[in-house]
Amino acid sequence: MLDLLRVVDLVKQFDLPRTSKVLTAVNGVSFELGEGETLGIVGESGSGKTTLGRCALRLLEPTAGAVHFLGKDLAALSHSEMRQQRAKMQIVYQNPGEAFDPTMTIRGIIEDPLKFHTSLSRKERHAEVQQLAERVGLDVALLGTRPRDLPAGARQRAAIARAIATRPKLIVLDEPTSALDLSVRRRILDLLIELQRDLAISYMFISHDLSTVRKISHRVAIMYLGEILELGPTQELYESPQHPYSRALLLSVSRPDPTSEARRLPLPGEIPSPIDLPPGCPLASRCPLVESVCREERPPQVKVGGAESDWWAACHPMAATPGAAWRARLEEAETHREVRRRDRESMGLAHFERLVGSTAHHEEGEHDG
Amino acid sequence: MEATRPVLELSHLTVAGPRPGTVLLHDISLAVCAGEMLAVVGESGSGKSILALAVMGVLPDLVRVTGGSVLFLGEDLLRKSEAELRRLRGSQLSMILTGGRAALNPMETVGTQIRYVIRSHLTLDKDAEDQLIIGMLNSVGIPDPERRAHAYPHELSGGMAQRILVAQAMVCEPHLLIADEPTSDLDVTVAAQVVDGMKTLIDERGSASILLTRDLGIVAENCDTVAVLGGGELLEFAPVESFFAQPTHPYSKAMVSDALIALEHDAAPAAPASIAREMAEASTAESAASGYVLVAEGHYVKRFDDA
Repeated sequence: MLDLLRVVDLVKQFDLPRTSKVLTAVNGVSFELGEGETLGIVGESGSGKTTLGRCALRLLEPTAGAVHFLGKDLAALSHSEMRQQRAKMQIVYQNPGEAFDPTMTIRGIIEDPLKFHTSLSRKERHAEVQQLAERVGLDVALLGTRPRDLPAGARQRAAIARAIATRPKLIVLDEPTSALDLSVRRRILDLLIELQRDLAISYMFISHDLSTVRKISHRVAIMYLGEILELGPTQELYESPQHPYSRALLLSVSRPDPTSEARRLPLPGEIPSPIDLPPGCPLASRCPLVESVCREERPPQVKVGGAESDWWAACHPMAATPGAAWRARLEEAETHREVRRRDRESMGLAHFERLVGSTAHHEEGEHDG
Repeated sequence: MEATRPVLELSHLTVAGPRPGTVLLHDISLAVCAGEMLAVVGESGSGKSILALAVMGVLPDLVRVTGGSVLFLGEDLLRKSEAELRRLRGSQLSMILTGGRAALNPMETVGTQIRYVIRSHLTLDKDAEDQLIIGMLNSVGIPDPERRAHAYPHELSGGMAQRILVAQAMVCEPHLLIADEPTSDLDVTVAAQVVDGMKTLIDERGSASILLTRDLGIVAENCDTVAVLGGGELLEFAPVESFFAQPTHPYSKAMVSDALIALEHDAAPAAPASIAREMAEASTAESAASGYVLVAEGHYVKRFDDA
């Protein structure tokens, strides 16, 4: 697979005003993104995932490291060359309501990139906008309205139409479905998957929502405090996360199944400040498996399942513990909570019939067939 | 066996919106007993928050209850004066608002804000108040509670702020706690800790609780009963196991299957179509006055057209 995007040792720091302190948002991140592939970037707030997405598009200038897009080093491009490249790289934000100019019509919003990047006439552009709207399932009758008149799902469709208008190779999707109800979210994800299949676009899908990332990503990178702690094929990683942080994160997601017991890998406290990062592993302050080396040296990347594998996790204790024993150590650190079952008499349901009056009983055998 | 008396009992509660003819909640009946956690689930706009505000007696201007009753420990809250309600709110009847830090006063330390709740309802000397505040902060999992009591909301993370709200709501050991999307702004690892902490505290005190949420995972893991709201109506009311084993109203089914699909590629939605069909037959067979049908033990579903 051709690497569309190659990010090498990317660092992004921000100098804090009036102090000599430095905020490190992204701390030495490397990954590749293939053509037509989706890489999910998962992390909690403050993990640096949004900054990483912006650096990948050179919307922010990286402090160190390189971003290669279609084989070219983006940092080496001139302003006008970069501008040409931008047609091939787009971004969709979480709240298109805020990202759109509220005074423009939806038609104008989708048309805008066509004005910059194509030589189409006004008439051709309008025909193109119409086609784009149909392509993303946006009711063309809505093109004349303004962003505030659209429901959230339709606004996100408009944002996607705008993003694909210039036929990009790469779209950074920054929490594109987080503000949506589940049913709308599912339809937007289906649309994104369909567009990728038809147009061979690569996605960097940034989200804190693990289930959404699972649905859309081929591979997933787990970020914490500016670093990727684990990166691997989605299905395998979700089934058997290797890094203690990935494991804690995935066990925190409650399953919609009351018969499964609550398992956790507790991480006491919260994500530390990215100002003046300590040396060593970013998780050291919270990790239940922490060793002294974790506080001093940055963890090595450990391959999962053979040298040829594209799955790795960065962890000192894992490097020192072979496969099966490592899994046992992870499981040992887990806590379980017992499922408590109540009898019906002690629940409000026992009163429902009295409250609503009579209820039609539907019992087995009563209505055969 | 005699059924336990409910802590809260809604009977045919109907709430009208500001414009004539708009009904925000229609004919809602529900009950929740001591030690029980009831989930009220539904998408945005389903009426979850209005339900909570109606129980607390703090509906927005022009929104008013037009029918039904809200019995709290056997007394109708709708017939109580504002002064009586004020005595109940925060002491026997508590609510955690959505939004974490935004629900706290930025100008006061968090300890002071908990102290206000204590002073409104209890008569303690200052040392006893301090002890109570620190004990509460400790039990919701705030590290270094003596120091944190003097922190302002902006000095706390979102997870900490949410824990403060839990401490504030639980400090007077209420009979009923209503939590409105207590975790929607939190990261998953933090959300899990906050919910686990809240659940432990509720179990210890034996309070009844109502959790308003869109997250069916949290419901499955923590709640005893599930009430589905859609378009201001109660569509399904069921024990949690039965609900997830056979969500029956089309709206509930869609919600559960969305949650499962969101979780994995290959999950088959737990939607036994035959039950829905049988139920539709049952409802045509018995067009009783009530709009609900019993589909399994304790599992009630509003009648619907199985089109």
